[in-house]
Amino acid sequence: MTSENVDLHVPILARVEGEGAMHVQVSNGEVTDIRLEIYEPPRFFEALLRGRDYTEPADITARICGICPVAYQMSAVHAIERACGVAVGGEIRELRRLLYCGEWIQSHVLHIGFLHAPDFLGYESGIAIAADHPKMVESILTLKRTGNDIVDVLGGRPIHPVNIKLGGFYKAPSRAEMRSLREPLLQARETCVELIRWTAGFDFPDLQQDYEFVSLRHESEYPFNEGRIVSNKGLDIDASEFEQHSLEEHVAHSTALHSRLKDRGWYHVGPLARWANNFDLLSSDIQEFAAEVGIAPVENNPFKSIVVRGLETLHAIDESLRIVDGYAPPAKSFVDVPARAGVGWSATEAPRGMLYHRYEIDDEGIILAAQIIPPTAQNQPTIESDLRRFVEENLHLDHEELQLRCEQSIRNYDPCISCSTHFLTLTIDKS
Amino acid sequence: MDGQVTAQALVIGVGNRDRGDDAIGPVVVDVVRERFDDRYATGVVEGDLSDLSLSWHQDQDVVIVDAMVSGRPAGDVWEFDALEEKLRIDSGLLSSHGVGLAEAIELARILDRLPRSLTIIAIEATTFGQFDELTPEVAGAADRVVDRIEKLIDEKRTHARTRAV
Repeated sequence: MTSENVDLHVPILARVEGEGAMHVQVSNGEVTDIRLEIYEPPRFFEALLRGRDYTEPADITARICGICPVAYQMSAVHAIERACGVAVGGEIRELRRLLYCGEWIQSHVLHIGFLHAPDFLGYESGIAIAADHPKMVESILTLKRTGNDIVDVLGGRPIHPVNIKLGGFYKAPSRAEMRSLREPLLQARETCVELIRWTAGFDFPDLQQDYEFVSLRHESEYPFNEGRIVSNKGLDIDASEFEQHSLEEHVAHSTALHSRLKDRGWYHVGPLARWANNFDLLSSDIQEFAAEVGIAPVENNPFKSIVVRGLETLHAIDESLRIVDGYAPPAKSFVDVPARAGVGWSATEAPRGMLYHRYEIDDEGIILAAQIIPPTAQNQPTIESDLRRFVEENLHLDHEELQLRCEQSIRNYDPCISCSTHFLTLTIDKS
Repeated sequence: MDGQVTAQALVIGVGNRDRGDDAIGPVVVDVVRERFDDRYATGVVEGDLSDLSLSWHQDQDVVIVDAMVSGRPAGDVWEFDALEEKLRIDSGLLSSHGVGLAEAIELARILDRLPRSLTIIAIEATTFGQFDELTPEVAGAADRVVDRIEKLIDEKRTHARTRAV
């Protein structure tokens, strides 16, 4: 391989959720082709939902992903409740935020420790890290377990919760169950600070992009379930307007649709976007700690997303403690959501970015149409843009280093291609 | 994992209940619970297994039941002593996300978090489609596997008592 002609092909990407590949081609010193190829078969969940009862999406869509089922459940229930004209507040709303905190902790910590950190430290896997950093890996496992415990207490089990329903929960946790989370959360906070310091010490490849960061923004809270869809470049819309402003395109090399904003182009969802759009809503403790570890209020280097994920985990722990400490069991664990004909929209913040759902139901609660736009579909063009930029600026790197950094660029987004195995078989063609 | 670690033996089912034969691990745990009530601690893991080693105590006998693809006939049962031998990462044991079973056990080994005994019982599976039913051959293996788990745990306890004497 020379810097003039490069043909990198990674047929199976490792340490991502699902099945994807990467292809990079450079001819005469110019990037001629960049593709994040997603070849996992589509599963047609939207078609599956049509004709089902309006109470079912919370359970059905949870099965889309084993890492972020809560995100699917929350987007589904909020959209359908909106279609039915019901708003859920009070303690149930707080419990939903806590449930989402649990999922962020689970997902972010798994990604930081086992999927992304190996790239920065030069290990093949998180397992390999454990041999040299056993205490850190033990801490990571314990921290992730705290997220599991939250989802278990609220959802009935740590993966694919079964206690979620329209209007709230089948059963609300007792005070004792909520109190049982407190000590582990306090320990988790200390561990998380240690984890953030560890990741902040990594060497970050230099890549700066002028992103349009798109996320929810709530008037007073770092967003999980509610807020307007905003960007750092002036987008400010209700979830009901999202499809008027976005396009989903089929591209030949992907079974997932590519998303763009009309007249604006590719955009970035996920921790860096939430961070940029909502930094002022974080506690002063976290803002100051971010400055101490070198994270700016707007971070345009996607490789630093690993640290921002850690800081968001810290926020989720603080938010969990707030909710646990103030908890009073609700008189009833759900509000009634009677069916009525209508359309409902919702966007919530999955760990890896904004997740949009729309449902149309009839007056008997039968689903007539469903639309789901997951974060990885939204980020695909952005990932390809990062790859192009990174390769253009780093053609001096040797083949192995360039390939590793390209894979790392993809993992910056913690892409959730689908529920599937992940493993690595690598072939490289040299021009 | 949706189980409590209290008994001296722990049976863990790994797999996704909605993905055809991948459900066999959780189904075996259902049968264990039905047949033996609280005699064994039990748990089901549906997703990432990175923190599997936090599920057990080091003085427990642990049996993990999972689906496998190895080219054997559907429903064939394969048993493996994970303390004696390392499980190959590409051993054909299926995981749906994150860290898989083989990796989780290797992680436990590295962290010195292995239990007193650790046996993998893998059942040859054929279908993993979303919302598929278990194939009859795989479903039919559940009772045989539970019989084997009971015998296996008795053997492990006897062995532990003998060693203690």
